[in-house]
Order: sequence, then C-alpha cells, then structure tokens
Amino acid sequence: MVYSLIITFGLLFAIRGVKSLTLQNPEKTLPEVWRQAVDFCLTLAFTLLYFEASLCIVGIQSFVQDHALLVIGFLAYVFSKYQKKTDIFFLSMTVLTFLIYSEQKNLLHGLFWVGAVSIGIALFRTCFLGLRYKLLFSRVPKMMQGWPILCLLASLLSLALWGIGRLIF
Amino acid sequence: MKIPDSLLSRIIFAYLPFMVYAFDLEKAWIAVLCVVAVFWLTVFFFWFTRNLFPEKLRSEVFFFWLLAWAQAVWYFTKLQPLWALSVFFLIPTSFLEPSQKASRVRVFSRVVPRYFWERFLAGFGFIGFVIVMALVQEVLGRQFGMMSFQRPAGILLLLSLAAFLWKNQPYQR
Repeated sequence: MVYSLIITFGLLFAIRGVKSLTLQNPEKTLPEVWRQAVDFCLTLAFTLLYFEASLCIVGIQSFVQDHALLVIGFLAYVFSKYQKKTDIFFLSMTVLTFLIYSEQKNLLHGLFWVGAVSIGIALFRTCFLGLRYKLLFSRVPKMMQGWPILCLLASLLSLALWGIGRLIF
Repeated sequence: MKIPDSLLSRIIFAYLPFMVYAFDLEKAWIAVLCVVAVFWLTVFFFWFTRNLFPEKLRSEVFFFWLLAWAQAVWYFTKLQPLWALSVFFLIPTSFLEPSQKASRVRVFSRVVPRYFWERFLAGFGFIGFVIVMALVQEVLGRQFGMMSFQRPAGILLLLSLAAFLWKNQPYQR
C-alpha cells in the first residue's frame, strides 16, 4: 500500500504541486521539492501525534474515535491554514493521516510510514522533475504532448521504483 | 463535438486515488457510485445554497461538507476516504469563487438546466471511464496473468493510452 500511496500522491503533487515549480531552473527547484517533503512529513507527523493525543483524553475519547475523520480533518485544516498551504495539501493530509492511522499497528509504526511515504513522494517528484526537464530538450510529437507523455513517464518511473524497492526491502 | 481537455485533466486526477487499492470490479462499482452520487449532490446543494454562506467561508464549508460525507460513508461501509479526493477533483469549484463567472450567474437562471445537464454527463462519463479501466485491468491482470496492470505502473500505462486516445479524437465537420 505504501508504494501505491507514494506513486499516487507523488504524481498528484508533481503536477498540481503545493506550489508551482519552474522546470527551467532545476538547481532552485530540487531543494524546494525536498523542503516541501520535510514540510509534508512534519505536518503529517504532527497531525497523527495530535490525533493520538486526543484519543488519550478520557472525556472525549469515544467522540474522537467515532468521528476520527472529522477530527483529523480539523487538525489538518488548522495546520494547513497556519502554513498557508493549498486545498490539495489539506485534503491529502487528511486522507493520508486517516489511512495511516487505520492501517498502523502502533504509533511508532505509523510514524515510520509517515517518513517512508514522505521520502518516497520526494524521490518520485525529484525523478519526475528530472525527466520533465529532459523532455524540454526533446522533440515530443504533438499527439503525445501533455497528459499522454506525463502518464507514460510516471508509469516507467513507478516501474523503476517498484523494482528498486523490491531489491532493497 | 470535441470533449474539452479540461475534463480530461479532472477525470485523470479523480481516477488517481483508485490506484491506491487494486480495486476489483465490485469495489470499483461501489467507490465510483459513491464518488458520483456525492458529486451530483454537492453540485446541486451548493448551487442553490451558495448565497447563504459568506464569500470567505464558502470553500471551508465545501471541504467540511466533503469530510462529513466521507465520515458517514466510512461509518456505514468502511470505504476508505480516498474517494473524497476524487469528488474534489470532479467538482467545478468555480461557482464557489467570487472572482469566477459561474458565481455571478443567478441561482434560477436559464443556463442552470444546461449547467446541471453537463455535470450529470460528466458524472456518467466518469462512471464509464472507471468501469472500462477496471474491466481492462481485470482482463489483463487476472485472465492474462499480467499483474503489472493491477499496480500503479500498469494503471498509469493504461491512463497514458486513454489520454492519447482522448487527445487525438477525430473532429466532426
């Protein structure tokens, strides 16, 4: 599931990223991609931690458990607004936190997944950015420009990352 | 009539969350019906009630409406809230933003039936798209044993093919 999350949200942020990044200047864009990944990782971790902390408050425990998605959504909204992030960031944060919370064995396992997903998304975005930069100097046929070539690049990249992931893990 | 490219972008973005789980045909049906039902309900509800909310709070109300539906669907069906992202990408939020033309159209204007009809068709189009993708994955993945088509890599390859066919539609003269 982590692999699918990385590819899905990596592609989402690469195309409709948290802030639009220019392809023409990769030296400035690459550090920005990794800075956004750290942002993403910390916000995800804080949302998960605050949610787990709210589960420990005896008076509201049952309410929080029954309305987990709403509580996570509220926390993600507060963090996103504070950082002046986009709507996609807030929604992705909510969905990812909820997914990790529902699949995790314990808090440490959840935080490990947070780190893995964030690093994976940053790696995907870095490679995708590099490939798109190379495309600027290639003659892409008109019928392949836009979504066809982007989806093809993402497909090849996800295949490569899957292979590398299976070798390492 | 050539289908606009903006609809292709919205449909591809709306389909991306379906990659997280290797949906079989049955789950794909449930998820897509959920997405389209909430999509139609949201468009209908917000078109008629948008003037009741302050301009600055409209998008916040919209997001919490979406989360409330996601919570309700999770409570009854245990369907993961990834489909809420699909609804977000399908919704034309232009009528919530005061600077957009759609938000300046009167609530009971003559263009409203056509507007709703287009959203209705977009929902049906998305259902058809998801079912076709699920069928192709089912045939290639299970019948022919090509498991890559039940992973994001194969799904993105199919999306690339779909985008290529969409982009190169024949014109009607």
